[in-house]
Amino acid sequence: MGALEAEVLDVLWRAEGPVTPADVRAALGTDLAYTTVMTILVRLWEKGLTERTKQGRAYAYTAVVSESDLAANRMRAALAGTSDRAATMSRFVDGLDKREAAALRALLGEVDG
Amino acid sequence: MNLLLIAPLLLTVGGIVAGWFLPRFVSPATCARVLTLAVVLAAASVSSALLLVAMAASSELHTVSDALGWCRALYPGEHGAAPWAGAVSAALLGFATVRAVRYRRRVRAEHAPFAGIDGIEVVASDDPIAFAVPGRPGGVVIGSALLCQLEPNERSAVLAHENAHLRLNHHRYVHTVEVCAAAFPFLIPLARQVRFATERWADEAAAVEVGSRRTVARAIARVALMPRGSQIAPSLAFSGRGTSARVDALLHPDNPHRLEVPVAATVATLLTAMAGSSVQVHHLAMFLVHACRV
Repeated sequence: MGALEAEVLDVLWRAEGPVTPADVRAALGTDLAYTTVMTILVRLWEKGLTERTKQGRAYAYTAVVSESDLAANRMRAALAGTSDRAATMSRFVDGLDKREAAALRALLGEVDG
Repeated sequence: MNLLLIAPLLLTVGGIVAGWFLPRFVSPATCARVLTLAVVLAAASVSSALLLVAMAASSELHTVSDALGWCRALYPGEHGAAPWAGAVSAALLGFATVRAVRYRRRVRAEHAPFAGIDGIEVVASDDPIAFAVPGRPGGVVIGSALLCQLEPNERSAVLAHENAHLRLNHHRYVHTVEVCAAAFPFLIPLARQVRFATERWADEAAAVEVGSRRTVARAIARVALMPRGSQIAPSLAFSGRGTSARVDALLHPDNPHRLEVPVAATVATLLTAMAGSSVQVHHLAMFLVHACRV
């Protein structure tokens, strides 16, 4: 379920406006059941990662990406101050020293330039 | 016969050399697999060598040999290991076990708060947090600051990277080598290489997923340069020397890429490995001669 959830959230992140379960299915390909997509959308909404509005008979979902709009949920409270507790996990990036930061800025300039 | 003693040395030296040159020739996935195997074999051969020395020395003690019965016939006095060598070996083995158990406990403690995670969790944090939580069901934890400051395709890249860790079971490689490195610190540089290889592996998977190496490179660089309030625990961090290599590898796939291992660490590793495997070579050899004759 985790990977699917990520895929669905990704669709919402990339979408221009509100997205219905049918839109998500179309974006992901058709091998997913409508109810599965709906379940995932509801889960994301329950986690406070999306907002929804009634659109005809179905809900249309929008990803929440602004910090103030990200609603609190039970996990977020439990995970407060989480970054220093995750040393054994695979993190996206590690800490930097000055030399490394300079090297990264140069590379970033190369990407943007 | 001497293979048992030389094996840890060869494996460690070979592993470091391989960790240095392998990324030039093979994919990060192969690199991670080969180096994990090297680390496990090195740890296993060092443990068995230490165990043999400890056993040989213990056979010299009359109380032990009388209690076990079999030792005296096997080791006539002068061929066993010196008591001090046995004591050192037993102590090293004991320390190794304690440190390995401690590492496992630490992993369990750090994973406990995330036990309920299923899918994606966004946590309120000003630090650029993003990590994969392995297990069932498992998931990805992302900090709100990171989520809000990235562009949509960069968010996708972060998510694809962490999902790759989960899908490809990278925690198995990482935790296996970290347990070995906790037990035998001379394996730490190799364990770092494996960690680095799994990160590169996930980067490549993410690049395929989002269809752009530049996007993934940009996401890594931008997240790494975000301000962070709390310092990351230094014990497992790369001392900050993996991130730019990852970005560089994504931008210039044809260049040779390797993790910079500080020279001092490499020299220390070689010396430790040599010392470790040559401990009482003569005595151990004699022990093996006897063991083989039985």
